[in-house]
Amino acid sequence: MIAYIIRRLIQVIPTVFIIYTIVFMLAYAMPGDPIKVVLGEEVNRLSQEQLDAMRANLGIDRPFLEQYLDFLGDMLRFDLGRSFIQREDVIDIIGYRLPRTLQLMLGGMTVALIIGIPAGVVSAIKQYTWLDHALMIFALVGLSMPVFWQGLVAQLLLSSNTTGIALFPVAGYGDGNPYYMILPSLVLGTNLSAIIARVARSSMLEVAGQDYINTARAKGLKSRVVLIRHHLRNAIIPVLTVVGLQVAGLMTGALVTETIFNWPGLGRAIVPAILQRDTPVIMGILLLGAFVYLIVNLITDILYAVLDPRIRYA
Amino acid sequence: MLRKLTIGVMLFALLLMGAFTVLAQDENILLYPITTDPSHLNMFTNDEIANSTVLNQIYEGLLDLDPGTGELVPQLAESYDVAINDEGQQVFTFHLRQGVLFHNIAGVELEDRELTADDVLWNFMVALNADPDISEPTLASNMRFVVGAEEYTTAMQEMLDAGDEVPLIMDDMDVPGLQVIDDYTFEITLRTPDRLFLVNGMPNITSPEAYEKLGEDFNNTPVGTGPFQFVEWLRQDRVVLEANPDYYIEGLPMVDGIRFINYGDENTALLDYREGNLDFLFSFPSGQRTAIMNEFPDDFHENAGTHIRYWGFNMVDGQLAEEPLVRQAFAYALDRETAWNVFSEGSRFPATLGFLPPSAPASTPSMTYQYDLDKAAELLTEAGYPNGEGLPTINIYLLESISDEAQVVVWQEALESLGISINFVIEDGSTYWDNIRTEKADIFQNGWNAGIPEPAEVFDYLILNGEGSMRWDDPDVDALLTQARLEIDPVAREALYQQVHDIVMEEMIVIPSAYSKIAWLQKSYIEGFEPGGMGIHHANLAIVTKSQ
Repeated sequence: MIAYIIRRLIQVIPTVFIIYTIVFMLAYAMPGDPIKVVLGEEVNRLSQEQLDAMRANLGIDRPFLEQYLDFLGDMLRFDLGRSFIQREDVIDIIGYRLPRTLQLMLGGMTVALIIGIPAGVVSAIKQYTWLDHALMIFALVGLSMPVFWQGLVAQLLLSSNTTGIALFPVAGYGDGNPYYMILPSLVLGTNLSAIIARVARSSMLEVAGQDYINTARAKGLKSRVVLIRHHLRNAIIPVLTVVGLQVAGLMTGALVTETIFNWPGLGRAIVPAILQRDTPVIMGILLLGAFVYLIVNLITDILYAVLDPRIRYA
Repeated sequence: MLRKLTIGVMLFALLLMGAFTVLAQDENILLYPITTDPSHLNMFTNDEIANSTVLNQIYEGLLDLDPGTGELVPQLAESYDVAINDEGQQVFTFHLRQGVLFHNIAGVELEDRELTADDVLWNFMVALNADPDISEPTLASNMRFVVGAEEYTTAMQEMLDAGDEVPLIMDDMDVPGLQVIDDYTFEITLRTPDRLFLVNGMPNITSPEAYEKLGEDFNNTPVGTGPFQFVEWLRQDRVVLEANPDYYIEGLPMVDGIRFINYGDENTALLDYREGNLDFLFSFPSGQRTAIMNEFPDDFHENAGTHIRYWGFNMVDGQLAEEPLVRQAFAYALDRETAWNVFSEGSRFPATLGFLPPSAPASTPSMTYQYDLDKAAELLTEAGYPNGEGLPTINIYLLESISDEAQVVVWQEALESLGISINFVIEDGSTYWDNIRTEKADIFQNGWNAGIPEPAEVFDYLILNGEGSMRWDDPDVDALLTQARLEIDPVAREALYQQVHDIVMEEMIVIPSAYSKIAWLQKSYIEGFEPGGMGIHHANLAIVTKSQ
């Protein structure tokens, strides 16, 4: 297993390199100039020499290969460069925001699992009953609602005494006060819980007919024990795959949720960075996203083996 | 049982945390929304309004502009004299206030450090630094008339071009136009009189020791002399300032601090205002202006601003560059009243005058273009394009961030009814500013903030020497503008600007569309908030009270 993990970790290196190359090419090919984006028509106040000096200062006047290799060299030294706009090191920008985004993702995932797995299990156990239909319709609705809309509705219903009941703060980070995390986590998690519920249901139904479930029942085990130890444990693997794959989706959803709920995470850094052509910030956050995605997939694969003794990695 | 009890206790604890959060809002602190997080808080490199909103409360200059009147008022200099020396140069002598102390904040520790003329000189010299990472180039550009300033900046620029590292201040080169007379007297000499130097030519003042001590952190830790001092900045969350206990005007500021709260979404800010978590609201969600006015009739306030929304013609290689009558026809076809008052809920004043803010001198040109489709059709015929026949498709560039303005659709419909074929091209700011200065664009959507009601703040940047994106360069107009800049007599000056304005409108270089309104909500317990016409970011928050 350890050899497998090391091999997978080594594979991450060329993958990140390929992603780096693609992202850099895309960022380089993006038309536009960060100086003009910021200054707009105010650029008229500057002479061409001053503009050239500003471009040279940012290093964006150099040829592609030079910029590519320079940035690559810096990246290998864990130096992601300096934001064109914020005049701050990208590593600091990410360092401040990443824990907040992860915090929100964790909250969202917790909500998704707490709602999604029980809903899928109950729906499977009560197949074709009104409860099954109700839960699956609920899941379909949850899946169909865009995150930004859910956010606005949640704020109106749960944060305002004018339009609902003010149980939670409208927005903000609240210095890490978990109370501020509940509503954005609910919004972020609801969407994912719908997917998890549907996958959990179909997986539970598939496992229900397996011989080992019948054997467990024939041995006289209590229903709860059969459900948790044999039924759910085997049905959970496809759910785990979905959860792993949804990490990227959760990050994307977090970007929208962060905007609505004033959450100071990565999403609120990358959107202005793209609009302002702040290449170092774009590169840093995208590379980080790719890295997180690869690591989460690795963890998912390892968890397969933990949950299912039949799966072994050489 | 125990499990239920534990869950109950946890839920109760969470609710308590929420209650404490609400209690925190009762402090005498202004809760002030900002829709864009500052990109940094370095006053030397600042070129964004989002940064200025915060920095204007921390930093002060020798003089300030009164937000209400746009007039110069004393700030760190309690008075100044103006004279013309034997060489015809303009000499300003500033008499500094005594007893002004720099902020003494954590990490900097400047106890009882008094401002002197040496500090002022240091700030002016740093502002002249040619390295854009140290000083925003417009600062040096605005100081170009100071004797020796251009030579100093050029020498530094040459070092930069040669790949040399430039010092913060070049000790071996003097700027004769900047002189310390004594601890409280500072003199500036301009090689030629410049009326606007005092308005936009001087930097704010920071502490040299703080700058040195903070190093890179000066980008996010401002240290000034203003009514508020910096406490903390949590990116994309909030900037917190507290009252400066040593502020030189007794009794100010009136509140204990300001919390600038960053909102990514205007709807969220509106909801927080409604819930009492904000004292102001400056940005309204699209399409909700009327509803907001109806919901908060007593909280709603409005001022005329100095921003102009306009359509510019490509006067060099655009298809209408040699078609003055067609340009006039386009101007007559813009129904500003419908666009701004009906469809845009009155968010701006229809520009029924000319290319200057209405409060500026010479703001009424001899020729204006009120909506008249018949007149537009007549002009098209006179130009040889009856019903638009023979006129090529006109490419109109729209800036993505404002391309959804109702005026676009209103104008499009009117132009098509005249038989004119148009092609809209929408681009974002990264490519827009380059492309509108090429033959691709015949007309482009644009805006300009004059900042103060002063013709030079529009004409010097958009008309003089063909610098604006219209690229219209008329030597006679340039001569008039140069003369007006130097003219001291206000009546003669206004006459010169009037001539320029008349020519610009007769030639139809730009179609004025709207003048800005500054609209905001403020709670009934807030008093003293007077942003004037120069923009919300210029409001003096030191005189605002919160009597909740």
